[in-house]
Amino acid sequence: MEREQRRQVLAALYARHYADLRRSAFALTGDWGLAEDLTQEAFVRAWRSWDHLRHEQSARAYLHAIVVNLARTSLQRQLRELRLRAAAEWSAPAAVVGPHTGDGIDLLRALARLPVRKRACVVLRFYADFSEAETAAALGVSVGTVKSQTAKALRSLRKWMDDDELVPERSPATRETWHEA
Amino acid sequence: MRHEQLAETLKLVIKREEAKNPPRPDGWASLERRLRREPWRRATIAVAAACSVAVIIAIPALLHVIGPSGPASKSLHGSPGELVVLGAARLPGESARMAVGYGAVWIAGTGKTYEVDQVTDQLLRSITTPGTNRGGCQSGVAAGSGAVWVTHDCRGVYRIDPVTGQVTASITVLRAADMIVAAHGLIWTATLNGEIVRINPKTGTVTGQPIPIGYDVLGRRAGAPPSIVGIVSGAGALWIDTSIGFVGRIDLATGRVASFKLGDVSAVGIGSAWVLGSELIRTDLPPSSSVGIDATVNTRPLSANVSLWRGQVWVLAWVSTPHRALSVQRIDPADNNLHGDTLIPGSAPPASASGPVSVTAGPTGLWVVEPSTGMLFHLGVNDAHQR
Repeated sequence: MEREQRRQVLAALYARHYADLRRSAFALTGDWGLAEDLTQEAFVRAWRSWDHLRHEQSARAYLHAIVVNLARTSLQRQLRELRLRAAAEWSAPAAVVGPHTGDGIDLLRALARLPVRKRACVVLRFYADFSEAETAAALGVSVGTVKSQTAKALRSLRKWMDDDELVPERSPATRETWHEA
Repeated sequence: MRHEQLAETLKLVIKREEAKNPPRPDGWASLERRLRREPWRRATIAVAAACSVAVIIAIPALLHVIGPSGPASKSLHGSPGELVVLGAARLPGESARMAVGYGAVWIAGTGKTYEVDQVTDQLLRSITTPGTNRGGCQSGVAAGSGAVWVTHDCRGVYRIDPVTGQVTASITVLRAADMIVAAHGLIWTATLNGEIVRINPKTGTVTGQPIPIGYDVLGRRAGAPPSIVGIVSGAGALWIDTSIGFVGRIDLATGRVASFKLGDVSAVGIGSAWVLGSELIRTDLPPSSSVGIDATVNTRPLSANVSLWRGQVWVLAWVSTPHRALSVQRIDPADNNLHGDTLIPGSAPPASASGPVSVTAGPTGLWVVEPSTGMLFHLGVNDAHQR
C-alpha cells in the first residue's frame, strides 16, 4: 500500500512537472527523443531515491538536477562517440539543425554550442526561472560559479547571435566538458 | 540581448518546437510499466546477494524452523471477507466532510484542513484554512484535478497543493455550500442559491454560468429555490439531491441538465442509483424522467450514508443497542441482500451530539468520520489483499 501511495504522489509530480522537465531536457540536449527518455529516466531515479522527494517543495529542483546530470552524461557519451569517429566538423543535434528560420532557431543553435555546464546555467536560470542559489544547488556548484558561467554563456550567445554564421569555435575534441572549471 | 528578452525568446522557441514534437500520449503508462519492474530489479539484486549466504548458513536453520505446522500467521480480528477496523485517527478539532486522493484522506475541520495518511492513519498535516466550518457555513472537500478543494465561509473555495500542503488560491464563489466534487476535468460546487458553479482547475476561475437545479420534469421551477443537499458523481453524470424531492442530473459529456423525481441519491455505480431513505432503494439509471425500482433493501432505520467499494454497497448507520455506535452494513448487489454488519468500537459521540457522519471509499479501504468526536476510522476487508 505504501507503494500505491508513492505511485499517487509520483503521478501528481509527473502531471505537474513532466512537460516542464521535458522542455528543459530539450533545451539542454536539442533532441526531443532524448529529452523524452531523460525525463522518464529522471522520474525512475526519483522513484528509487524516494527520500529526496520527501521535501516536496524542492521536488521540481530535485527533478531538474537529475535531468541536468542525465543530460550531461548523455552528451558526454555523444562527445566520446564523436571523438571516436574523429568527426571533422561538429554539428548541433539533429532537432535543432535545419534551415535558418529565425531568431528562435538561432538561439537554439547558439545554445547547443555552449559547453554543458554553461548551457545548464542558461536553461535553469532563463528557461526554468531558477534563482542563482537554486541553480547552484541543482548543479552542485557555488553561486559564484553560476554567476560567472552564466555571464560567460550570455557573452558567447550575444556574440554568436550577432554573427550571421554559426560556425563552431572549436571541434568537439577540444570543447570544454562538464568537469572543467 | 537582455536577460528578460533571452528568457522570453527561449521559452517561445521551445514552445514552438514542442508544438512540432508533442509528448508521447502514453508517457505515464510507459513510466508505470518501468516502475512495476522496479521491485523485481531490486529483488533480483537483493536475492543474488543473499542467495550465496543463505545457501551456506540458512538451510539447516530453515529445516529446523519450518516444522509440520509452519509459522503462525498474524491475523486480523474477524472472519475472512469481513469488514474490520484497521485503524483510527483522532483529529484535533471538529471535522465533517472528507475526500480521498493523493495518498491521503483530506478532512475539512474548523479553520483547518487535515491530511491523514491513508496507509498509516497518521495525521500528516493540519493546514490552516481560515473560515472552514465557521458559523453556519459548513465546508465540503474534494480531491482531484491536481489539487484538494475546500469550500469556506459560504463565499469561496480554497485550492490546496496536495504535494506541499500550501493553500495556493482562494476562488470566490458567492454563497458556496458544503458540497464540492471533482469530475470531468472541472470542480463542481453547490451554492446556497440552489445552483451548481463550475471552476476551471487550471485557471482557478469560475467558468460558465451557474447551473440552476430544481426544475421539475416539465422544466418549471418548483416554488422557492430549492436547497441542494448532496452531489454524487457517477455513470458519467453529476446527481444533485434537492430538498424538494427532485434530483438534478448534469450529463458531464454534454452538459445537459435533467430532473427526476427521486429520493436522496446517495451513490451511483454498479449500474444503479442507490437512494437512501427509510430503506435503501436500488433504481435504474434514469434515461428519461421515469425510473424503475430494482430492489428495496431493509437497512438500519438510522442509515446515514452510502459508499460503493470493491463492487459492494456499504451503508453507514447509527445503532443504539447494545450501546450507541456506528455500524457499516454490506449489501451484495448480486442478490441485494445484507451480508454483514460491522460495529465501529469507540464511535459513540456525546449523548446529545448527532452530527452528519459520512463514509468515503479509497484505495486502502473505507473511511468513516464522526464529527462531534473528531474520530476518523479506517476500515478494510479482512483478506490477503489488505495492507
